[in-house]
Amino acid sequence: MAVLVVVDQGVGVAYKWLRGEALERNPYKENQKLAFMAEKINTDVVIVGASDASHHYISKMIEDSIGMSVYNCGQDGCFFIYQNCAINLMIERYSPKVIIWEMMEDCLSGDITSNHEYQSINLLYPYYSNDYCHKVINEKDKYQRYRMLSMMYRNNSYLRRYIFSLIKSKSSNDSAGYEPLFSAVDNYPSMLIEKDIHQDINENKVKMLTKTIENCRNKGVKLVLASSPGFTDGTVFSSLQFKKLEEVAADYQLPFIEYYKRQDLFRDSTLFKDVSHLNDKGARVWMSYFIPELKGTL
Amino acid sequence: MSYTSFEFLIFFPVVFLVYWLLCRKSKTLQNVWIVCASLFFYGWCDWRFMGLLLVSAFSTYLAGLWMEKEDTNDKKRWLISFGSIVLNLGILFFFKYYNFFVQAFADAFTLFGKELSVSTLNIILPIGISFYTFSALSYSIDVYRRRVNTTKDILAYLAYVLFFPSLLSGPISRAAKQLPQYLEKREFRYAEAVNACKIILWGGVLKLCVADRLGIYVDAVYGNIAQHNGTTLFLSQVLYTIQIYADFAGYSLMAIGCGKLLGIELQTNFIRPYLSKTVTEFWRRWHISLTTWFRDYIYFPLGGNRVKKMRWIMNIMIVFIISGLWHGAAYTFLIWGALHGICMILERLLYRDKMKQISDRITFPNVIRIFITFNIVSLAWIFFRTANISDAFEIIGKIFTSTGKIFLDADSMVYGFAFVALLFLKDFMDEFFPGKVLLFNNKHLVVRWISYVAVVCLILLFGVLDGGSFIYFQF
Repeated sequence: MAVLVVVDQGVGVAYKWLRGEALERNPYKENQKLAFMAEKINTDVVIVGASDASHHYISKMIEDSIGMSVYNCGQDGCFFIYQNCAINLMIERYSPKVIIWEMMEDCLSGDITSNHEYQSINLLYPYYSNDYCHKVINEKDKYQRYRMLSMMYRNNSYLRRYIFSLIKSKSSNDSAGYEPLFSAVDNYPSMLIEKDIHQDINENKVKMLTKTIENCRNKGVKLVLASSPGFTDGTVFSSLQFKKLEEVAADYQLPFIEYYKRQDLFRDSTLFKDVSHLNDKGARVWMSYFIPELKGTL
Repeated sequence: MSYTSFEFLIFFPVVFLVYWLLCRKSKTLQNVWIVCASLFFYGWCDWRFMGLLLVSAFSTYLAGLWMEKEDTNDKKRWLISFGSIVLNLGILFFFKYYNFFVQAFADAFTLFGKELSVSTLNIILPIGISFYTFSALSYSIDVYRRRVNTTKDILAYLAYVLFFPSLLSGPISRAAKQLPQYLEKREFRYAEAVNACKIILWGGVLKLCVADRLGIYVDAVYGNIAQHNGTTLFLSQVLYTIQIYADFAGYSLMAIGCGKLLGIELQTNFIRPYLSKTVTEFWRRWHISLTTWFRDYIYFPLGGNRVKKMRWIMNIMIVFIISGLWHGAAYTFLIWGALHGICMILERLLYRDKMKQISDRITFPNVIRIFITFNIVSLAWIFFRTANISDAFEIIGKIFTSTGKIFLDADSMVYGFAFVALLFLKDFMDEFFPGKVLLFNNKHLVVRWISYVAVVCLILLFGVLDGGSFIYFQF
């Protein structure tokens, strides 16, 4: 047992070194976004969110328009709880001038399993020492704090991403985190008719959101909420959760740039890779609406 | 409470310590503790059906006592045995198969152009029912056949039926082999305990590093069959073939290891099944506790292979269709079982008596046989995995007609393939070069301990420990 503990701690040290080296070697790799956000980022504007963020916000277009440096830290499959942790982790070290936070319309839903909230928490394990992440990770279940005693558990399944970052060629910063999607010709999606919209609100998530907003305010960070288009019938906009989101934005006087009022402009399937994601063509159309509104809030 | 859960990591050491520290002096105390721990374990998983579990145990126990009382009356003994079978299989049938057969009945009418309106019940399947029912029936049938003596020791019998390491997913216990162990006091043997820990460790690798890792990819593909091409579906199918082996074998090993730690020897359940040279051999290496149960209680009573050819073919199909349905109440399982039955029949017709002459050495023909058998079994697993027949045929159709770029997930590919290679290497060495490379059983203490620590590290660093992640797939 003692041998195991020693090995466990030793592996933890080795992995910490490996993470640092991987980030140094290849900071702009997609799977380094959290590490980059937590340890290196220094742009004026940071874009946060899940796949909607990473595929819909063209950093260079925003940068050219507003004259501020931009980096897109959107990460596929990393939802509301993760995003709160990532923002709080970042602002503890570095406060950008603006955070553009792409919100999923049902992010305040009571049904945590519907978007696999806690799946992406694994990515935060290396930052367990951060107070905010520590609290959220321990809330995963009653035994989590005991599992997190193990350094090997904290670094579970990380080796590949570190090794790949070290051995693969350095990713360029040309796209500044934006990950374009391209549709195959004649393979455009059909509109999603949303049938099962959850109408319950998770009050803990609302508290989490308001706490993050207050933390950003205390650090002098301007928060801009956004909700980019999906190829849906828009039923979700009549849900209680979306209205709650609008309410919170209004309470804190946060700009909320959402496409709900511009749905008609996005009923063209050729703008979408799938029902949830714009392709590159669609992202450019979205930017043509988003950027002027963003400029108006700055 | 699964073997890989945190709760079990707390539960089992407590059971182990109390068993050997406080109960070691008496067989009765040991059995009492096993029964208490097993009831707690089952209740933790699903307390609602504890009554059914006890009905199964007590009914077969009482059937045994009654048969002993009617020792000279064979007809009555037969009736009692038959009654215990009807009761236990009736319970199993109701909970597992009622809805399926009601729907099948309605579907049969549809074939003749008649619509039959049926109502199914909202029945929850009691956890482990397929396993403990068979363990319990093994006793009453073997008492009837006079292969096992009736036991009056209710505690020993309950410990046999309820034994928690094998209660939910086997290995299925057999009265002749397992029950006598509960009738004697178990002694702690350090070497056996160490051996048990090694078995549990390797089981953990299979379950967490192989099965659960591959499962992430397989679930992502099978969850969106329409969106994937044949190449991806083929890869997914091969990975599922390995996943189900690693999952079940890993679980069985952990059960066997836990049993051994409590001084109980459970039956080996898997012996490197994907190194089988024929489908017939596959069924001597796969889920052995189940196949021997079917062999001894269905196949042999039907006449086995000591009957005319047509009757033998019928026997094989009956056994395999029942085996298919045992795994699940759906047409897909029925087809899966039937496919295996057909393969066994074809092999027998093709090989005839030459099957016994196939050597166990590494020869080119044997490599081809292993390859073919693996692919046949893999193809049949498609029906086992899919939710319905149309999905299964869609997958098979796409595999043979639609090619394209493989859907890749970096973690699944890298870690999955690495551990699959490790699994096959170990199986290969154990099969063809047993004892040549020893790590857990190396004569040097340092090598053994480095191996133990390394395996624990592998599980912690690469095992899927958080109940499985998902692959975020854009389609």
